[in-house]
Amino acid sequence: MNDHEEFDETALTALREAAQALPREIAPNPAAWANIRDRIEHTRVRELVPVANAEAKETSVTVAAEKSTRVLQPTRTWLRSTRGAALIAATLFMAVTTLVVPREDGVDGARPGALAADTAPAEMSTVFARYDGAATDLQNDLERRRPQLHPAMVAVLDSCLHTLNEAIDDTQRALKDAPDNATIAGLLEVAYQQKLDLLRRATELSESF
Amino acid sequence: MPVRTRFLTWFTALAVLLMYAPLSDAQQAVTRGWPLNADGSLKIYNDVGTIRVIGWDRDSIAVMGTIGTGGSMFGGGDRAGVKFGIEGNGSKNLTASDLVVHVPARARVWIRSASATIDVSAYAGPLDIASVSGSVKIQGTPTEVRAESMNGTLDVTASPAYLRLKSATGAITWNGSSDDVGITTVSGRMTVNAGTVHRGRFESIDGEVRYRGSIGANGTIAVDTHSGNVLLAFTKGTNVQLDVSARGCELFGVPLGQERVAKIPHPPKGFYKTLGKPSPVSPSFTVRTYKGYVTAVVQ
Repeated sequence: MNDHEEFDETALTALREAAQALPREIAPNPAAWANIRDRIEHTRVRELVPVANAEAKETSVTVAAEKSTRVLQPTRTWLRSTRGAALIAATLFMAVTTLVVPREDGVDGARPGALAADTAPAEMSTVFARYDGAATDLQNDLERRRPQLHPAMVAVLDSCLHTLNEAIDDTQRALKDAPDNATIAGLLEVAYQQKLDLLRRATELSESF
Repeated sequence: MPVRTRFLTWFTALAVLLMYAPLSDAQQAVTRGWPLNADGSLKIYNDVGTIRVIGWDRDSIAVMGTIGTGGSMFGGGDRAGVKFGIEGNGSKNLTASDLVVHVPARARVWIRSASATIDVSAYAGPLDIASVSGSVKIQGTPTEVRAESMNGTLDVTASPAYLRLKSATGAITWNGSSDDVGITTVSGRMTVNAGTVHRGRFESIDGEVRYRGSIGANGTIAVDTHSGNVLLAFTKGTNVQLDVSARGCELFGVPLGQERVAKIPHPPKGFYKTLGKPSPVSPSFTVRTYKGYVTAVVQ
């Protein structure tokens, strides 16, 4: 790779032919990225059940073994219940907004626009669990490469992960005490995003050298 | 052999040795060049040493400098894109290589380093820079900047339309204006001397954030920290709706909320202040911090 001005044409032709002979696609090793694949499979959008006949549309679809893996065709009953649920949710939202929207001079409350502002605590837990899963995958990958990493990067990474984990623990504890506090949920999300971003950057930088 | 002659012989031999000794350790000089279109792409790699990039109005790249012991230069490409750098030839004791690179001022430049410091000046194209521990300094009129260093400092004086700066522990300083800016650090101190920012996001975990300047009409700026303190210094005449979520703060001389050092964990509270003429289209400045203390002043 030192000087590209002089090259052997025969060697170049042989190299080109060898490159052309390579398969266009190589399936990854099934053992690699197993955790990530599991998570993708877990969150994959399922195909809709094909409607066998018109009668099936009128009544709720009977599902047996497929129930856990497929999304049901919406039925009128379901739609009616959805409208009811939406009405209840809208009423609740307005009530919560009235109570929680921050007021002048130091009233505890939520800031609009954060993840928690329109997300239920249970959904938030799911989102944060996914952040945890993704961070663990990236961290495991970096751990495998640790011997090859630049020493300066290892030191910074360890120190920053410690800081980030402390911040995540702090805000997670606070969120347990105040699950509706959108500010804390937003700050927790920021800490998670920073952790993922740091791990991703470290991975990319380690691949650059 | 007389004593004097013997002394002269030894002295000459010693002088010759001393003269050649530096050369054995000396860096190898390098001068290379490639043609590159004015809007071409350039990738530069140099792990250790310095990389100085200077924009010029020619359609070519000129590289001058020295290569450290154990290293050699690779490179190649065509008028649309060129890649070059210093590689270690398997040596683990690669010493510093110092490169001065003249590039077409509007080319697309991409730089990677381990500990090498990076200095870009008189440059007007898009930039993408990443380093592990090297410091990065950018001065000029780049159209777009993405720069990150894990624990090196980032010092940018530029007003690109799009700006992203990231560090882990390194300090970040930015002087300029931008339509869209995002600065992120885990523990580094962040200093922003802004002309006008339209959309800005500044995030830190425990690093201090200092923002000085103004906000564009209808601008939105958000600052998030976990325990880093936040200092805002708005220029006189700034119209802004300030929305602070913190355990304690001092907004324009009025202390609000909790003590400066909070010992008992409790959630942040919301504080609101409008600076200047209240208007439905006033720019908004939002600060959220879990443990940090927020101070806002007008200068």
